[in-house]
Amino acid sequence: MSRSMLRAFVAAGALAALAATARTAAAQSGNINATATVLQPLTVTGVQDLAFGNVYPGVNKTIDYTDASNGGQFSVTGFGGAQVQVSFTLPTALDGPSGATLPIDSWTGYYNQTNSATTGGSAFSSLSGSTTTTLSGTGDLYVFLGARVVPANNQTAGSYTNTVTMTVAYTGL
Amino acid sequence: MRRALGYAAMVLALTAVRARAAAAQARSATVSVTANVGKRALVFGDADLAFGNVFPGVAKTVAPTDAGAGRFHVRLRPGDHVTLVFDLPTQLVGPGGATLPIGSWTGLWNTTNSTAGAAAFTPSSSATTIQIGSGGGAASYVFVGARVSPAATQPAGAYTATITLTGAYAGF
Repeated sequence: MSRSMLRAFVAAGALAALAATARTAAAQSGNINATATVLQPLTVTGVQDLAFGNVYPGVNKTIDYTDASNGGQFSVTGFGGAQVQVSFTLPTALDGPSGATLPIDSWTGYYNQTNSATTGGSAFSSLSGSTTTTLSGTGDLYVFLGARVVPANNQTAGSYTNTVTMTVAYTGL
Repeated sequence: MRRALGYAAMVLALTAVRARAAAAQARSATVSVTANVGKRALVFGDADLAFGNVFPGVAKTVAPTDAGAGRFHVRLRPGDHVTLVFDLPTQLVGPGGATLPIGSWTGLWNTTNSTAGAAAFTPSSSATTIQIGSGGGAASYVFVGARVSPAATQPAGAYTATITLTGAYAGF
């Protein structure tokens, strides 16, 4: 084999090496992480029913949110100091025997970072929209509800009930 | 690689021709084998994409211009072009195997370590071509943002996932 032919073979070998190198050498990767810390989810608990007790036909009855025994109560726990939005789904009537209904209206409410319906908190200006407030430093909020039932003179006797739903959501602040 | 193979093929042809000529003339000669390969695009992960505290039920977005944006830098020769391909997670993994969806990826790249005047692109598994800066650092910088969407009942805790950026030489 002449030297010139040998050079040709060397060149061919170089080509093969270059091809292999080109396949493997031109790319490289780097990594970073995506990280997030999810805070404590909200827990909403119905603590006490709004209980009107005995109601006379034709006689309206009101339970105030300050009524510790009969007022409706909710509690909320979440991330301390977080801002939340509170809203309600309120019935307009209670359902009774054989489809009878008992109107309910004049809703009132109070929210507080401590478990008191009288001091340190604020009355809801309206229960029909949403209210923005802040959980306590330990992540607590207490809500108290009152309302009025309006029985007719011929209101059917029996037990009436319906559901009050309070929804609480973080605002992200 | 195509460019490199092209160079190598030309070199091989040239070598064969010169070899025949050399044999006929019985004289020695030399050739050089050159190719523009082996330039490795070095990719460095500089900063995590950090969402910080996230409230359950509240989506949170980190923009590429935000302090929490993820950042890479890519080194090669000044003026070289580099294709970027991302391997992006669809969720972060947290306590007990809980998952946190992540998406809506956004990106910026620049020949300086600044988002001012940077070019926008969408990070994805499809290649995006950038150019290496001509400054002394011979680097370009890549900034990444995204959005996490926690459920209202998302378990509390730390969540994480890996973002991989692969850079490949794409010519000068």
